[in-house]
Amino acid sequence: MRLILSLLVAAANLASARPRYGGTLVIETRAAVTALTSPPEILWLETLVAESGPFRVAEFTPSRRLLVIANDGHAAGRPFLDQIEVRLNRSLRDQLTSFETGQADVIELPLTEIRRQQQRNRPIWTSSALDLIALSFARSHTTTQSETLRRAIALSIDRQPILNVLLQKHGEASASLLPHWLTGYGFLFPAQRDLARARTLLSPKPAPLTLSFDPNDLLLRPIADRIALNTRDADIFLRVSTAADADINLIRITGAPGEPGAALNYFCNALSLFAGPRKESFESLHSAERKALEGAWVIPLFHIPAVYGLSNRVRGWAPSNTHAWQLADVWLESAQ
Amino acid sequence: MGLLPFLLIAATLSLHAATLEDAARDLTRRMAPSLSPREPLTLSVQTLVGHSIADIQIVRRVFTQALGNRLRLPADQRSSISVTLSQNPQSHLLIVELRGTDDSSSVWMATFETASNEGTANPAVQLERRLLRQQDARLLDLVQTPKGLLTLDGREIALHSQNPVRRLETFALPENTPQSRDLRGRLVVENSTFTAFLPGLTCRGMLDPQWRVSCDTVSTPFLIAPEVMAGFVLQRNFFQHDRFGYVFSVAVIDGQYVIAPAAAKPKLLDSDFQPLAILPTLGSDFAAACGNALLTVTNSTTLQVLQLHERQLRPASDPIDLPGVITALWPSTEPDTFLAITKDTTYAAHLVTARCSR
Repeated sequence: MRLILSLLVAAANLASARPRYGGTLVIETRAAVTALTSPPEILWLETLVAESGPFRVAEFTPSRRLLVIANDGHAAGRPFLDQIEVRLNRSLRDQLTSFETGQADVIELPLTEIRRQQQRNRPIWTSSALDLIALSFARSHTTTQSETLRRAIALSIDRQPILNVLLQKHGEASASLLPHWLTGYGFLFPAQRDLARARTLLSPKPAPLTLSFDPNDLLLRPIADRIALNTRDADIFLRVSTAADADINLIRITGAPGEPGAALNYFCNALSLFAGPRKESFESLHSAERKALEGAWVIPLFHIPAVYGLSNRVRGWAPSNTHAWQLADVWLESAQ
Repeated sequence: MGLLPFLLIAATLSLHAATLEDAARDLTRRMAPSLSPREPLTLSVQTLVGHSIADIQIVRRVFTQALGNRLRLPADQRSSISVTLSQNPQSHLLIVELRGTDDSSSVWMATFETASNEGTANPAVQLERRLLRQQDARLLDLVQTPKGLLTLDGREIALHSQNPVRRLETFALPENTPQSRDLRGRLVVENSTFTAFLPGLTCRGMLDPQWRVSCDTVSTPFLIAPEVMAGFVLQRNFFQHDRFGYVFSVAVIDGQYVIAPAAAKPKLLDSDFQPLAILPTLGSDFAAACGNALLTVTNSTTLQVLQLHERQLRPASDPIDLPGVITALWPSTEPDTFLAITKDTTYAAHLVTARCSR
């Protein structure tokens, strides 16, 4: 009986189809790409505009629209799609509207939207947790010069409730630049809160500090507020603002490559950290990462995934772990 | 991007020790110079990703042997050695952290391989699978001949001996062979001659008495099902047939046709080609099996036999998993045997046999 049931379930899910040619895929993104000559701001865009790539640029209006068409002569074969339209500079709210009215096939979803979309049986694609959320201290400020203060702040943050509630358990709490899933050694960087130790490090009581975040990133505001509450428990007062010249910046770094060494370089470049030379081993990578975090000028907090909503007609979406999509292999289910 | 980044990682960061025990011994050797003579130590071993108790015991045994009588029960003011079995997308990691009484820390790591946990394919009542060949190049079709395995990929036709595995003959397809992103190709062997069918290309050759191949840049129709002639469409992944139009697959069962149109849901047609039913749950790759059933790709890595009953498809076998995405499914010359090509890190050809007895 159980076998029959499993067979029926399997039969109900039959849908393995060979890719179909044709159609236009519509993608919407917050990115405001202003020029295709400079390195594209989002990793997946590179596959669309590469000179000998599977697509050719047919039209580009900076910060508004990119239209690419299939390259019939591509060495690996013509892409399945006829064309891809990328609508640029679209707010998350506008993207969601387009998605729900069937005008976009791929949109960026905030983590807070995942559950609602899942309840509606909408396909969602989630990258591996590779976006880094971290605190970065302003090196030029007199208020941030104390390493013990920086370490006390790190010890006072309670990552797990933030992950559970604000990030809805998407991603991992982390005290390393590279996520544990990618290296296997992330646990060597303790991420647990130790309020007692934080308090012992602080003598005398520090002056209030400012904590800033990108106001366009809806995810960061509540995290900043929560961090300020956490540090208050250790008698460290952070004033949350969006001012440009804050003592501490809460930042999200997106677009890191999926190769550990390259990802470390990427994060170090973005955070002005120096990891030093290393050999090709995880042991060496760990040493380099530890060196980069010496001084606690940067406090890694979370690694979170990028989340995208897909329309029901999108097929062949390569389950790549990172942001680099294989759009040449994507195809659209016909309406019949 | 798929597996590419992780293949690159594997190329750069996979300095594998052969086994867990090797890795553990390697780490005890490398750690030894950092240990003070006769300093009491505590040892803990843990796994983060569900390695077995046996694995933990191996590590504990190796470290216990290496540290000998320096080991003590855990207590404050003692240096500690924490050994952790971990994992990342490329390898298993064995990590040793030596923490001194002054809270200083040193770390060593080694990668290791474990015995494969891959489940058996558990061929169900009727389906059996046998691996015929693996190769790096994009494999399109393979035929077993008395002279060896004849293969067709996107670049060449080749003949291989199986024991030892060796390439006997090869013929490079013309440089301008039209490529498709989902390239399909078919080999048909008759006695000592063969024909390779590709989109926009047909090659004819001889296996015996002398290897000889020549090609024409034309799509030639061939038998894709009994009495159904169709040819590949240039730069596409489907056939063109006079009555069915553009189709991915055609099968004849009980005198009726099952077709997978290139731009519509699969259908059941009667013997006069009139539509009887839409088969919305059927994929686009299938072949007739056991008289009145279809062997079909049910998800990207699974094969299953479905039986037609009152114009609906019902499972007639347990599904079997293949090690990779199934890129081609062709009926073989033997009844109820099929060739399935899969793509994982390499391409592989599998002979699939449907045992039809009830």
